Parts: sequence; C-alpha cells; structure tokens
Amino acid sequence: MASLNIDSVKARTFDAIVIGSGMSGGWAAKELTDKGLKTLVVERGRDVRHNLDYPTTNLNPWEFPHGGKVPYDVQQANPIASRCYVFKEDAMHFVVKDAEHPYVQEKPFDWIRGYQVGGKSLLWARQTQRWSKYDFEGPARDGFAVPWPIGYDDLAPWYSHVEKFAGISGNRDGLAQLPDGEFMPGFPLNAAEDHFRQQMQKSHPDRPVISARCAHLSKPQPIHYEQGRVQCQNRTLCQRGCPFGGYFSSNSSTLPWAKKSGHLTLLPNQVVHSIIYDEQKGRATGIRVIDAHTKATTEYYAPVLFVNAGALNTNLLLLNSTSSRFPRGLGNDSGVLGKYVAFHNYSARVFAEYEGLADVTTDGRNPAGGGYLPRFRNVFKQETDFLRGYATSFGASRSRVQPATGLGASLKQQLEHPALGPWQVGAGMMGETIPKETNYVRLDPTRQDEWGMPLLSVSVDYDDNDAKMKKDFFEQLTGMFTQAGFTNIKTQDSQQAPGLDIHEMGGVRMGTDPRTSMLNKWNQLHACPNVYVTDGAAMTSTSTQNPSLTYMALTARAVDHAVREAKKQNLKTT
Amino acid sequence: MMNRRLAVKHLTILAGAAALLPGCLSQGPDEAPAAYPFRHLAMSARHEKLLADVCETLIPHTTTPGAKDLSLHLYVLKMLDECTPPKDQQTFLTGLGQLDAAATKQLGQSFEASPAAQRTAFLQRLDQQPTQFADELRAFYRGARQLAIDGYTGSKYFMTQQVVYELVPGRYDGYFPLSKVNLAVPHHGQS
Repeated sequence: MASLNIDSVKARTFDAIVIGSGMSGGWAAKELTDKGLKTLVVERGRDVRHNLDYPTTNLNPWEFPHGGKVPYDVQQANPIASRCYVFKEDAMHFVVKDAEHPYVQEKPFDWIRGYQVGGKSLLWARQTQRWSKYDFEGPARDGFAVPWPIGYDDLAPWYSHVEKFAGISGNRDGLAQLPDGEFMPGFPLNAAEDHFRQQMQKSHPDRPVISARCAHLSKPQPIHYEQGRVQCQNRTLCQRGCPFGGYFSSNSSTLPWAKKSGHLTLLPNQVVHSIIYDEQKGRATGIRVIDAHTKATTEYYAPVLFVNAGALNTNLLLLNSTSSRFPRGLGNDSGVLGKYVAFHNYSARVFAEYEGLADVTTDGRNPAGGGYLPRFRNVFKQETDFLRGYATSFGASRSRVQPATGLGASLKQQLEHPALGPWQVGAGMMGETIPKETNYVRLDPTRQDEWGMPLLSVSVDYDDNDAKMKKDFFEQLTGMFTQAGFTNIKTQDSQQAPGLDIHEMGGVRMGTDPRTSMLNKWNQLHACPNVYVTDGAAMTSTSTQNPSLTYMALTARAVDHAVREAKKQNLKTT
Repeated sequence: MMNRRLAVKHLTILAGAAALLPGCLSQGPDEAPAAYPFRHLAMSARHEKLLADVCETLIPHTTTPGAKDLSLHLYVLKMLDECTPPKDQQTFLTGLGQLDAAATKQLGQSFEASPAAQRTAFLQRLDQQPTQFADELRAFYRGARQLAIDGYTGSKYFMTQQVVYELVPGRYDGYFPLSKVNLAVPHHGQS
C-alpha cells in the first residue's frame, strides 16, 4: 500500500506545472518543454486539438443552420456572451455560456471566457504590438499604480524570441512609441486607408497610420513549417480555428510543439482548486484539481508552477489558495491581490464615408484588419487634461448596396449585380485605463460554482479620466476625418461595460516593492518565488497595445529565469 | 428531413381525407399544421403556402431560380421560428393573417387566387405606400422581404453562381480596379 502510494505520487510529480493552456500557458508549456522539463499542463475545459476539433472551420455560409446567426433562445440564455462579437454560429462553441460559469457583478462587467484547450488564443483578434519604453515608464512618470520593475530593454529580446516563433506580420515603421519587431511582410493598407495615412502625414505628422501588426504568417519561415503551419490564406475565419495554422494560437503552435518534445502531459477537464503551500519548505509544492466531470480531487506536484489561468481566474485561484501562512490568498502579504484591475476602454468608435477613390475597391480579405494609429496623446510628455491616451484601429471597406425597397425581377437583378457603395471608414478607440484600488475582484463570501469554487465577484468601472479621454478621441478623430475629406461622420458611444474589451488585466501586479505588489521583476510571487504568474494578471498598467504579445514575452522570459533558478538550486528536474 | 417527409406524408393523407369526407372534419384542411416542424411557431399549412407565394413574388423565378426553386419560405420560417423574438414572431404571423383580406380588398380576390402580376401589384403597393396598410401587415412585409433577400443571397446557389463566395481567397489587394470587378467568378474584386 505504502509503495503503491509512493508510485502514485511519483506519477503525479513533474518538473513544472502550468495552470491554463491559453495564450500564455501555451508559451510556458513550449518554453519549459524546450528546456527539457517534464511539464504538466492542466486546463479546465475540454480538449481542442488543432484541426481535429474545429467543427465549423470549412463550412460555407449556407451550411450553417441559421446563416451564421445565434438562435434567439441561445441569445436569451447568454446575454453576456451574446454581447461578444465572436459569439456567432461559427464560433459560439468556443465561448463560455453564461449559466455554466456564473460570477458576481458588483458593477456591470462582461466577462468573456474560452474554457477549452487553447483558451481564448483560438478567438483573439491577433493584433500584436510591442510596448515601448514610454509605456513601461507610464506609472512612474504619471504617478499612478506602482512603477514597472522592468523596462523595454528587459523585454525586447523576449519580444524578438516570441515574434520569430509565433510569426508576426508588420512593417518596420521606425516609431519610437511602437518599436519594430521581427516581422514578416505587413499586410498593405487599402486605397482609402492609405489615403488617410497620406492625409495625416501632411496634417498630423505625429500621428502615423501604419499597417496593423498581426500574428499571421504572411511569409512563413522554416520555424513555422516545422510547426506544421503554412501561409495565411486570407480567410479571416480565424475564430473557427485555422486549418492552415495561418494565425498563431496555442492549439496550432505552442501546444503541438511542446507535445512533440515528449515532455508534455496535457490534462483537459481539470479545474484547479488551489495551489498547495508547504509551510515547512516555505514554497508551493503542487496543485489540487477537481475533475470537471467526476468532481474527483487529485493533487499534482512540481518544484516550479506557472499560473496562466487567464487574468481574472488567476486572481480567483490565488485568492482561493489559502493557508495559515497566507490566509488572504497565496503570496498576498500586501493585501493588493485582486486589486488594481484595469482594462482597455473600447467603448468609442467614429464612422464616416469617403466618396473619393471610387474607381478602386478591395479584392480578397485582409487578416490584419487594416490600419493602426499608435497612441499620440501624452506619449513623450503630459499634454492633456487626462492621463495617458489611446491607440486607434482604422479600417476602410466598400460593401454591396442592398436596395431598401422594391421586389420581383428588378430586386433580383439588383441583388445579382449589386452596386458598390462608397468607402465606409471606421476608427475604434483602445484607451488605457488607470489601475485603481477600487477596481477589484474578490471571492464571493458564500456562493460557489458547480465545482465548489467560490464565485468571483467583480467590481470594475470607468472613471473621469476615461470620460475625458473618450471625449478627446471623438474630437480628434472627427477632426482628422474631416481633414481627410471624409463625410457623414458619426460618433458612437457603445456604453459597453468593462470586460467586453477582453483585455482585463492586473490584480497580481508586478512591482519592486513587496508591500505594494505581488510579483517581482521575474514574475515570481515575492512571497513564494517558485510560483510564476505570467498572464494578464501580472500587468502593472495596461497602456494601449493589444496585450497578448506582451504576455507571451513575459512568459518566455520568466521560464528562462525559472529554469536558470532551478539549475542553480539543483532542483531535481529528472 | 425525416420529420419533414413524415409531415408532408401526413399532410397528404389529411388532405385526401378532407376531400373524401369534408363534412366529417371538425378542422378544415386550412388549419392543418405546416409541413415544417417548428419549435415555436403555430403555422398552418395554408399560411405556409401563402408565405411561399409571397416569397415567390418577392424573388420570382426568372432566367434564374426563384424562391420556390430554392424553398426560400422555409428559410424565412426557420429564421422566424428560431432567431426572432416572440413579439416579432407574433407581429409577423398577425400580418401574414391580414394579408389575404387586404389583397382581396385591392384585387377583388385572394392573394392565392390572383395571377402573378396581380400579386406583384399588391406587394408593390405594400412596398411603396406602406402607410395605407395595418402596422402588422407592413411589419410582415418588411420582415418577409428582408428574410427572403437574406435567404436568396445566402443560398448555395447564389453564393456559387451569382456573387461567388470564396472560402479560401489566398490574397488581398487593396487597390483593385472597379472596372475589373466581376462578381460571377472567383477573384472578383470583393470580400
């Protein structure tokens, strides 16, 4: 019996454990296994294997039962998920249904989740921009949150490392506020987007309009073929999972790579209940998991743990990992765990039309989505009545005109030979929000989910700074659109709740001072250094870049550190 | 499919029985249920046929297939049944119920009994002078027209032979000359 037990423990002991298989968890798995560590990845959702589990990927529009729309009953049952742009008939099976995974909204918060192997990396918008030194220096310069313990130079080599493997398309634009990376050719701007670029070059030289940088293989390299990925085919059906591996996801890239190493054990359908802390050893020794189906509890052990559960779930897990040493949650001596949550303000858009360039249109589809304007407010110094600023996505397209009235043969004729409307242009704001103690998540004191986990209670809201910034976005973009000769300019305030941006960050922030932060400059818990947190929870501030690329780089950097530490301390890595 | 075949079979039997024994049925054939197994809609066979006639008038068979060739009314009904809020479903059905009386008033006979040109004339008026008609009938017309258009432009026929859909474009050109646009072939100059 005793020896059986020892064998069983041995079978459940690894060199490293990664909690979560999404964007950052996949990277942790890849980097750890590359370095020869026997790695366990636990994922709360079901398995989604590249290609084998993309049921809608090759369906034509007419093959969907509801033409791509979400049935009314499903919408009614899922008001939160239904607000997400990706929750359509072709990809709704990759989005968490409201009733299955409840949470508490102290203030309105749309928590969009993807509980499956690969997580939200299957569904992401694939925009990938590096942070610049001006982004990292923001909190220190402007006196909010806490200073970042790292700067651009710390992360730059790791940006390069992950960019080469993931495959990033973009142009070398030479911008101080948006450093260039390891790029494959960028996807070109179309005629109207390029018109806007040229106009801004004349009137606002400090507001460059560039091709959006994205995680698509425009010109795959040997490292991508080695992953089994080939050139992006411009389908822009990415959310279904891509049979070409044309965009980066854990499913198409890091996880199969890790599996090929022979060092990966992937366990889907395992909800991590808590991280086990050993008071004698003064470190974490493993995890306690609940089988999603049988509800049976099992423990797994490893000397190194990576927490990549997704920003808010990482908070939930640490808060739920209590011990007599850490009664308020693992590593939470400071009391800041769960606090200083922030996000990106996506609630503002400006639309217009352009009557020019009527003799050209677009052919095929652009996976990058169009153009991008890096933050131009308060970049090099404070210059407005609000802190920080916003990046702007910019796109233009022409669509077929559908007659509003009429019927019969003439209607058919117009549908079959449709006129093309003017260029429709649109700009979307991605505003930095300031992390505050009053924007927090915590455990609901009484309610639990089906697996006995406390419900996460979310209290996150906009503030005056966000309102001022939004007003500025409307004014600036309206002015810029007017300058460019666009007409019929309309602003749209979506009034959407935080969360729908799907860029929630923080709660387990990095910092130099253990009294005011959770993680050190290597993403280790100050108070429990064999636990690394490298997903969105680690973010000290949010700046105005789509965050995934930064999570990838932080993860690769942290794994490198963890493995060096493990070697130094002579930790057994079999 | 089985359900539909079965339903059609039952409908045929019922219609036959009605022809033989009209006086014995408490329910006339008009109130027979529609052939399609709806989840939410209470749709009679007569209204299903009426809708099919409306759809054929909206998207008629010309040199190219029309609504009946493509069973567009079934698409309309499926979207109505499964993707439309109950309140709008009810309005749609009420409007559909008002159609015959309004048509009879204008045409002197029912929509069904009228020739295609008369049906078109009636719907033209609904299209061009909607304020002359009841709210529900107008809502029905707008809804049926939009869904029929969606069904037509979203059909396999349309997307393979009219405005060709490409699952795998494999290219992007942001400066495609309008003069080269030809929607009936792949690589046609649109997304």
